[in-house]
Amino acid sequence: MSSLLVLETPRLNYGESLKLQKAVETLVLQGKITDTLILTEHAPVVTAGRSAKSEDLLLTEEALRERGIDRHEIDRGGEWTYHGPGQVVGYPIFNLKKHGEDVGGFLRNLETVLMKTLEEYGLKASQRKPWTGVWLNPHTTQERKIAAIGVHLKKWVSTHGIALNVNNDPKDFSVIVPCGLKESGVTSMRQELGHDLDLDLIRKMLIANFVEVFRFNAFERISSEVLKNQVSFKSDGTLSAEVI
Amino acid sequence: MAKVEIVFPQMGESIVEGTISKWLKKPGDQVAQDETILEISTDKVDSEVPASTAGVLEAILVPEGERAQVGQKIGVIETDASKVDLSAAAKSATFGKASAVPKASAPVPDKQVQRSTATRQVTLGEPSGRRGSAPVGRGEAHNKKRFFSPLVRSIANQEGVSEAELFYIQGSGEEGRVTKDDLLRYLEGRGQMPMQGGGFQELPKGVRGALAGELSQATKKLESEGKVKIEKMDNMRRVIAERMWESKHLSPHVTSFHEVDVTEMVRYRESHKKTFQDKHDFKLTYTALIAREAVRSLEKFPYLNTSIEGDQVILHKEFNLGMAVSVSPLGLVVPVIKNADEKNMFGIAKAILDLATRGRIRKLTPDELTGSTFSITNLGTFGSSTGTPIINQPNVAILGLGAILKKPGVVQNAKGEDEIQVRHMMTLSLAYDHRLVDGALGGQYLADLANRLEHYEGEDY
Repeated sequence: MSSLLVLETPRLNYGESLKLQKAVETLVLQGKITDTLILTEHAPVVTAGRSAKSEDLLLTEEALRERGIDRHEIDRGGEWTYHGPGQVVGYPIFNLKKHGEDVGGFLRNLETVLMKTLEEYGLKASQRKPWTGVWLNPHTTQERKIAAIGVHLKKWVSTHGIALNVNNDPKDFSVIVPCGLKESGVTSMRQELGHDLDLDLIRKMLIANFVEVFRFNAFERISSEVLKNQVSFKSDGTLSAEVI
Repeated sequence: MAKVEIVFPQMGESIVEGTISKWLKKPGDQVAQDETILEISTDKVDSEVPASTAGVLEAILVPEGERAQVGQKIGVIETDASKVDLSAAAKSATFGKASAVPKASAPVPDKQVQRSTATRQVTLGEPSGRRGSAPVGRGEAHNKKRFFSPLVRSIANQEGVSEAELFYIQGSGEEGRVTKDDLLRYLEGRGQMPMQGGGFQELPKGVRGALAGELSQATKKLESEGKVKIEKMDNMRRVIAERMWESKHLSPHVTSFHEVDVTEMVRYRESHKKTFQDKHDFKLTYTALIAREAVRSLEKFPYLNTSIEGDQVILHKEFNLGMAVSVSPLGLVVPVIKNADEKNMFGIAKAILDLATRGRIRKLTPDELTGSTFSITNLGTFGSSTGTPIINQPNVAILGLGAILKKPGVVQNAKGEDEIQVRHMMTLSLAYDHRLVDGALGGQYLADLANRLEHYEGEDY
């Protein structure tokens, strides 16, 4: 297996991150670059996956706007979720043909990456069958979700991915019924550990665990220039993406 | 000139059904080859299904929002636009059942037969080499529970044939059962298929298969009798197991040994260990002294500082030294001293101390655990005189350090006469990937390193 390419970006608006993902997806589909992991953070946004029910969005369009929360209906699997500052978002844009053409295996591997990362901080997280995602104390009255997963596939190339609640306030999720699961709570690493965490270090742990779990030889940080000028960051930290 | 069925694609062993989330084309629409015609969803995953052929979408057999089994027919593409029969398509869509497949619009019955034999099946993306070799019958196979005998299962298990793959094998036994012979024939055919990506990418599946084995009946019996205790490997152990398995299968290992008289080096350390400790507050170890010299030798033999991808050799310009460190219980990590060639002996000693200490308490950052270009393992900690280490992929060689043992040795005295003295001896072993490294290169490297250690001079710290 080759190296994992890692692209860390400044905080992105959700719409910009979609453009970036599409640009990278195209390059991976064309075989111009190998598997790439985008690590980023989003301005507040709620996104609806393909199975999202409108009644699970608990605020009106107007109320969302008042709170400065963006809204997107997107092509990932799953229902509603929330992203915001303090959450680490990872988009593994991988060609699953090189990973056994196994969708279930891909999801389980993403869960393993998250669980291993949480373990580094002493948090014993687990899967919660039959659902996808990562939980603390699953199947108990205290069960709470700490990381969410949702994926889109085009010719076995994945987009979207994982969101790990690190320093964000779980209360931010109250604008939706997360993943359509009414009975289950949401938590963050800060809430569990009682202090803020170094997002940069968590991203490093995630990269290491991606390399290990997906059996890459190594990883290589890339800048937007590697995307052959098809994507570039403006000086104000926003992104301009040109999809080829 | 044919109808091509669209089937719900195979998406991995654990996925047996999913939902049609969106048809992007409606009956009558032109579709180009590779164009996305619909989206399907399984748990948390949304997938695009591309058309395998250009034509006209004739029928939608499973409408949006309904579930379908893997392998079920969900639509039909007519490659000949003049033959499209939309009335049949519309009807079948209303019923939304695979059984309502329109037989075709053929005006005469014999044509109809012809067309149905021309019907091909569509899967997501291109078939992989392995699946491409699989025979027919996938459509129905997945909708039925099939029986596989314990013998067939155990062969499949050993050969790394997944459950899903078994489903694709045409059975010749009773009620289409897959017999031992069917499976062996299939394996034979599979062996002839070209491996994708040089074979390495295929490995992990086999590794998983080899490691995910169920307990044997015999072991289960022993457990029930209280004669054994079963423990599951923790994550680190499992990764080690997989990596070792993988390395042994990928690289033809050869190990060469070289016994070295390290008396000079032992004398150097004995006379410097106190000064070193006083000055730097940590112990001067043999590992550090040897690692430093090993890197110097490595600079002379660049083909040992490489990795292999397919038939290409990657010569690394950086000398990044992986140092195997054991982690209790039953664990192992290989932190990396980056740019070891730019460090002096003290720099390497300090880096080893730091990485080993943090390695043992599992506090290494990802950057420190990846990127090695050559590795060293200390085999002598508990007195072993030597060993045959497994290459730390993607390196092509690993140096093993045996214990330093006192032995009688023949040396020349001041008068130029041979005499027997007590000497400090150490056996170096070098395991290397014979795909690239031959015995000559391995031997030359060891000889160069041995020479440095035999005439060890030390350096400032």
